[in-house]
Amino acid sequence: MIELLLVPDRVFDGQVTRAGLAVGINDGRIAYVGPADAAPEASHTEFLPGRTLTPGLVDMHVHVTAWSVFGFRAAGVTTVRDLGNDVRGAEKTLERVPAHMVPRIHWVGPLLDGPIANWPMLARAHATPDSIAGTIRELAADGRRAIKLYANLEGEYFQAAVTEARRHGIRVVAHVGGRQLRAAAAAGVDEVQHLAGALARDLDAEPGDDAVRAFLDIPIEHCPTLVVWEGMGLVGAPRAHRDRARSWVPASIERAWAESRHATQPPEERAQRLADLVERMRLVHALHSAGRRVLVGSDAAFIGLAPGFSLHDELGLLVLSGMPALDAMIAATSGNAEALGVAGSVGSITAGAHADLVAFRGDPTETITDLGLIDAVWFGGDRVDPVELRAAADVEFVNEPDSPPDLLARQRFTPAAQH
Amino acid sequence: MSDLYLHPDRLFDGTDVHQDVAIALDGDRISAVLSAAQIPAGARATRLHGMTLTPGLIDSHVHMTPWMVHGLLAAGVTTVRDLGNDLDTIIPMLDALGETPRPTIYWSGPLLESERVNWPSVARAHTSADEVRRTVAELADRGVLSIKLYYNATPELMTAAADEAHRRGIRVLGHVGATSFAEAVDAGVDELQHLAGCLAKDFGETSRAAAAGVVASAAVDHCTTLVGWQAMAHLGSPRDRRDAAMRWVHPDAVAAWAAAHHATQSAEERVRRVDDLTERMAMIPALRAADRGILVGSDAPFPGLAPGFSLHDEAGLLVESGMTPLEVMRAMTSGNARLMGITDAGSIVEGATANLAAFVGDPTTRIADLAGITSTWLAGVELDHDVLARDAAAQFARPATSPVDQLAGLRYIPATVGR
Repeated sequence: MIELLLVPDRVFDGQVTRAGLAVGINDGRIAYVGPADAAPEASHTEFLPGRTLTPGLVDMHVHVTAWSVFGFRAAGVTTVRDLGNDVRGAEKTLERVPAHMVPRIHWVGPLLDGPIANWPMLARAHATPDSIAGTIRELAADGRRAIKLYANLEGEYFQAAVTEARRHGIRVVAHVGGRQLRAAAAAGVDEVQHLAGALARDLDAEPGDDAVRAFLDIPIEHCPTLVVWEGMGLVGAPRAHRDRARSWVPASIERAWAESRHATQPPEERAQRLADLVERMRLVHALHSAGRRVLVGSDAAFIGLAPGFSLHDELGLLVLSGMPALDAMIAATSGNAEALGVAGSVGSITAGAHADLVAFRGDPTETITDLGLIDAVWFGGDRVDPVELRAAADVEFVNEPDSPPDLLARQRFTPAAQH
Repeated sequence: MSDLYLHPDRLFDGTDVHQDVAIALDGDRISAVLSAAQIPAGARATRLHGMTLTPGLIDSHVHMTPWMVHGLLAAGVTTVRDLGNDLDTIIPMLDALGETPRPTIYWSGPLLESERVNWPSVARAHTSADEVRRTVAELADRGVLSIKLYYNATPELMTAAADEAHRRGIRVLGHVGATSFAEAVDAGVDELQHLAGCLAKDFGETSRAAAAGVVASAAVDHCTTLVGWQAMAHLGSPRDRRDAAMRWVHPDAVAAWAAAHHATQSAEERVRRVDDLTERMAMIPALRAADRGILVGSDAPFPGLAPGFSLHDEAGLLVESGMTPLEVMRAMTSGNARLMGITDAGSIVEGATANLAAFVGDPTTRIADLAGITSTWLAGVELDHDVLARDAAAQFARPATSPVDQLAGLRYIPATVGR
């Protein structure tokens, strides 16, 4: 006897989409995945006609704030990797949010930067390569499973960081500076964000096929966050203000986005940003065609990026770049979970996994647009009550945003290094 | 004393922004533009707190179908130019709407083609110069202000049609396709659509700047419809499903858009479209510097383009391309009217028809505030947007069958009937 049996039209288990299956839940975990007609008896059975049931989505690049949790939940993003935060400061502001509304968070801790830190409130500066090893030991002792190296680091820092991280079995993620991608890969950095340092001009390559080959020659994994480049352009667009996702963003944050340096940059810079987005989309296509892993992350709640829904938009951009919808959905669920080291626990509908589930009308593994038809979310087996979620968000949105990443909004997203 | 006074925080008259200014309405007309202090005591006056009152917007590129009228008005669009339709069919269909409010429509007749026709339901084929002259004469008798030469029109046909049109004081529009930009200019075209045929690849130029220079040097106006290119590339983004504008789109069109060729084309093609959009956006500053007329039009209801709201998005893209919000608002009102050759639209002046729109905020300084539309006045009557929505729902219960809706059956792939 199980507590709850869900019977959708289709189940996407993190790998494949099949019809005729049911999913059983007990004690917050998945207890049964199998033929609906052979399912064990359940106290409650819920039919989900026309729906596809998927694992909760995993966002590999966020900066958690107290107000961000509601958007994540509404969009079916149930696990996130926080790639830069003052963890204690963030946890303190999360205390006022109902605990069951907070996603599963994998913290990396502060951005590990060089002598200059771009974002001091989220970072730790390091005057010498040796000093970074001490920080990593501290983070390992705090239980971090990954660290993030930031934009002002170079060769010896990469080597020192990777050497120390290897001792603790920690994954090394980086947002590298302009021309540091090869050095980061050579030092053994595992993963890079935003396709930073990956453009033709960063690699001293002729734009076009030469640059793509040079890029593919660099052995490193990528979390492209294409939506960052698109989001900055959408901040001032009427379209963005009609977007229902914006109801999950406090008004003061929207104002900060609108006044940010990126949203008000001159036309030449905007044109360059769009051209760069096109180049990055072609790199994503190349990565996928070469069978390389693509991690799916949004960088919410950076400028223009509504928590959760911006991950849907990232998936839309990955598909636009040439990934089939099914591959994009695999990447955003079981693929991301594997990179987090929690395969089988989240990102999959499999016996024993957390019962974090999302139902979409239609089938996003066939048509990525159907992510916009999100219908229901379960977290740890409990169905999310949209009215309760909205009410809790409205309570939190009365507060002045004061989580550590919100300090970036206060200074209009101008990096300290560029003051 | 007038029937009603409207007193907004800001009045944008189509050219400039004024404060402490009100307008008086008498019947369907603006009877006075006056200082707010001059509103007589005891008059019926509406104070539009926090709002900007503007002329009704003008969309210079649509293809009318009965289900669009509600969305256009809800977006504040009170005047449109139809650039391709079967007048004998569409005009009776619109007349059948009876008392339902609708924008003022300026027709240009069918797409004028050679023997070869891309969109049969809204085009007319021509085999000789004399034949196209007869068509122009017929359209002139119907009172059109412009004609549109389409994709397959030969230089000979274009030259004859332009000559016949100019003799009759009719503006000549072109969509460059099988012919070249230079041939269209030589034939005497006054205005081009979509910046089609204007990219570096179309000129065999390697430099985008050089191509922009060639385009800007020709004495031709441009209706850029950037939003059409954006929609084609991004069709199928989850964001579309969250867009409040989609409530104004007929369900038949939603289904047709999802099946459109553009939504299903290869990744290379779609990324190329994003790249082409980027090139077109970068062309706008060159056109402005050369003082070329820029008309603001959407091409609704081509796939992805919600009536009216896609015009807001075109305005957003023009701002993203480097125009100021005030310049774009001028172009979308008095500018469009001047270049379309119409007098009673796009300006708030004494004696003008009272077609107006009101926005929370100020779209002349922040284009995103177009999304803050709250009210539309059509010939002096304020339209209740809830009633518009109800009328739209009733209209959507009937199948979409107009000549423009028939393009859906082609999946928006040009039919190219004929030789």
